[in-house]
Amino acid sequence: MQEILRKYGTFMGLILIIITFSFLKPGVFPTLRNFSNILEQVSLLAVIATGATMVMVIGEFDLSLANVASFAGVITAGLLVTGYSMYLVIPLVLFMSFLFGILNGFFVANLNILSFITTLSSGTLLGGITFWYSKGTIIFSGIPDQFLIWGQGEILGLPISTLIMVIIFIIFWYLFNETMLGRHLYAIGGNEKASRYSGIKIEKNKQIAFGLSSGLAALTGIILASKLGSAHPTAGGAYLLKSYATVFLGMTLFKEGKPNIPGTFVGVLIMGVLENGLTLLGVASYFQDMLTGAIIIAALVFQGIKVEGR
Amino acid sequence: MADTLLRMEQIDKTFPGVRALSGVDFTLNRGEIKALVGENGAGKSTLIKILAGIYQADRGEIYFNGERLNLNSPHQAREAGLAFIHQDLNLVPYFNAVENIWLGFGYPRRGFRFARDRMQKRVKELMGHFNFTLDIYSPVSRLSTPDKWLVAILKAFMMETKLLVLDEPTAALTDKEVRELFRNLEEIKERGIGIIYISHRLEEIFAIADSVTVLKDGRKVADKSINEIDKEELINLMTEGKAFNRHTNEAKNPAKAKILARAKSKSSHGVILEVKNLKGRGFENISFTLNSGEVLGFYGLTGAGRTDTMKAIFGLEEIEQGEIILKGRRIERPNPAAMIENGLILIPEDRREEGLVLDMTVSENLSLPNLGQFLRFPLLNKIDKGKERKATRGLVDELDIKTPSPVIRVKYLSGGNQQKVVIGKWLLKDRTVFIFDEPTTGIDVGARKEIYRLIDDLSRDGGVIVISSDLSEIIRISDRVAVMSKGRIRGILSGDEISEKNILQLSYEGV
Repeated sequence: MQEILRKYGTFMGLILIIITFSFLKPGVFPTLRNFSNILEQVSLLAVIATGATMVMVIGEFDLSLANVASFAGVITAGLLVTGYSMYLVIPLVLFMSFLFGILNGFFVANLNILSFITTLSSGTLLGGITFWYSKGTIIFSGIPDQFLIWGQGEILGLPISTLIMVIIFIIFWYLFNETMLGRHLYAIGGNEKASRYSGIKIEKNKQIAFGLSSGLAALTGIILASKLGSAHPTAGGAYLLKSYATVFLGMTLFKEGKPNIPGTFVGVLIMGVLENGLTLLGVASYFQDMLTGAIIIAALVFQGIKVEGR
Repeated sequence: MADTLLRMEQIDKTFPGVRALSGVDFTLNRGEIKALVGENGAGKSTLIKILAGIYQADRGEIYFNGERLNLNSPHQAREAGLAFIHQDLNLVPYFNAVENIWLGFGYPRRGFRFARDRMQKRVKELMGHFNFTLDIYSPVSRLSTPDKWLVAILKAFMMETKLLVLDEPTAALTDKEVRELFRNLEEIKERGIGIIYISHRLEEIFAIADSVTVLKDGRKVADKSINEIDKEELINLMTEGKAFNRHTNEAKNPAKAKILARAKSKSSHGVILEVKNLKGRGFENISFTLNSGEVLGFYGLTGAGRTDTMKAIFGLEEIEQGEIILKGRRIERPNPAAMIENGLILIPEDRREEGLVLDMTVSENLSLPNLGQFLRFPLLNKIDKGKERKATRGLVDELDIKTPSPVIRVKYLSGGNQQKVVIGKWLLKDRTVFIFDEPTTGIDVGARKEIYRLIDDLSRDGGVIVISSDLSEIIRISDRVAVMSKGRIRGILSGDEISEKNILQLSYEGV
């Protein structure tokens, strides 16, 4: 029994939460429409959490993710308002953010500075740039309607942001599980020294991981701006802790206790379902935060035994 | 004068498969500094650990301060007045001497604050007692190494201490610092404290010790006053007191025969690795060649610089000067990935820390450096898992790695089988040079033989360098033996020159 709980506890938790809400709000919560809603609501968290998963695989943290998301939203909106084409702006912003991540990786891997401190500082710096560029205001007038499809449009009745989430999950699941890059990243996270002795280029791999995670954060910021039809210099703030919470929840999903994409997806769903269900029940948002925090702590404590001593 | 402080009588200790100590007597007087010397594996640390209450002797008795001691825990040893100071010193770098010395004794308080004056007073009293001078206000990280030792020693005297054991105190000291430390040790000794001094550096022993006890292969082979002995004789004692020998009889002759057999079977003898005048942190003036088809052993005492040298060649440590020529090509700035590409592999000493990703499976560990061979759709770099499985399964069979399945996480394997994984991951491709750093530490006898066979096989297709601190192992498997001490190669022995005595003599050169 204990074994089963340990193995499937997190997943069973998700099911339990869904069943509970279904009883409390029959006819409203357990509907196709609501589930589709939930998937759309979590799509942003899912994309940025994939980035967080990426850096956690190599055993690092990127605390600049939220700043990157805000930065990307503001710069994208700003450039669009100035009149540039979104087909130019979006790739440009993604690329800039990717380079920013590479730079984080350079400081962490080549100069051996703790990722915690590196990304906290670089994130603060980027936040300053974002404020400076936006002058601290919300950018909303003049954003072309065409840009809004990413966050608000649908294809065949499916929200585009949900589709983006699915595509990102598939790409990164493939990358983590089927490619050499993924294997190398897990090896670095498992034992950096042994990886170096095995001829893996630690610096390059770490830079790529930070670069991709930054890119994903930027993508989140862009979709968020599109969804809201506006960009605010701190819009991404709420995602930082949530994204890491989902990765930690996801790590409890498998015995190995490694960050992994299916796990992160389950973590994202747990967060999304909780938020959705509690809102339907009319629970105040501050109470939602308390409950969400408590549930994550409970899950980690319960599953925490899996972090074995060497 | 014979005011005996410690008497250990007929101490026996056996570990599974190894007789570590047999019938060892050891005595120490009050106010005496006694050096304890012997080769790696001679039993020094076992003896000290028994005294420290970490191990229990199988047989034998310990008398201390006139009473029989029953030591079952380190705590009891400390209570009895024995203090052990190890190289690491265990000081908190950003605490000052006073704070370090008081750590663990409960800082005295006055109201809401620490009573720093009382703490300082006590430390100053202790310093006065021993005539020590020491900066007690700066964080210990700013102190010189001998001063850090003083802090650790003073800490020991916060409790009743009659015997002090110093484990390699001078490994990291300059000559001047050594003299400073010795002056302070003399002060301690004059106050009737007995000191056991463990060191590899023979010259120091003659400078500080009053007497010396020599262990060899778990037996005491000499206990002499320092005036009755010289350096030459001491080395002889460590090497030739053949009371019994674990390996030599079994190993020597077959090894010789094997070398002859191998010499015949090996055709090419070209130089495949040449190192010229290499200098870096912890080594200098390193020059040697490795021929195709040979095993070159590297022997030295701990800290002789062997591992640093090899790490530098592999590209893990900086090279200040010198040349590395691999297969006729000069390697400009080595880094592990490039060296591996060129066919040079370093198999590190610490399997768990440096050799394996413990949380990955046997199969994943084996394929880790070889993933390039298993790729499908080159653009996507997809790993062909079928191909990977087949190759790693083949290795598991070939090396007889005992695991329930290749997809078991490698941390569940025994030491010997883990070592086979560490080696096995390099066998999917032809390599030229293998460097092994202590390949058989913590491995049982059976697996050890298999590792030797592997090393022999590998040397047929290229060259092998083996760092080992096990003399009989080095003699058994090497065609030539390079001996290092204090960061330099002191000689390279071949053929009949390879003997325990010659090797040891070289290994004590300059120390």
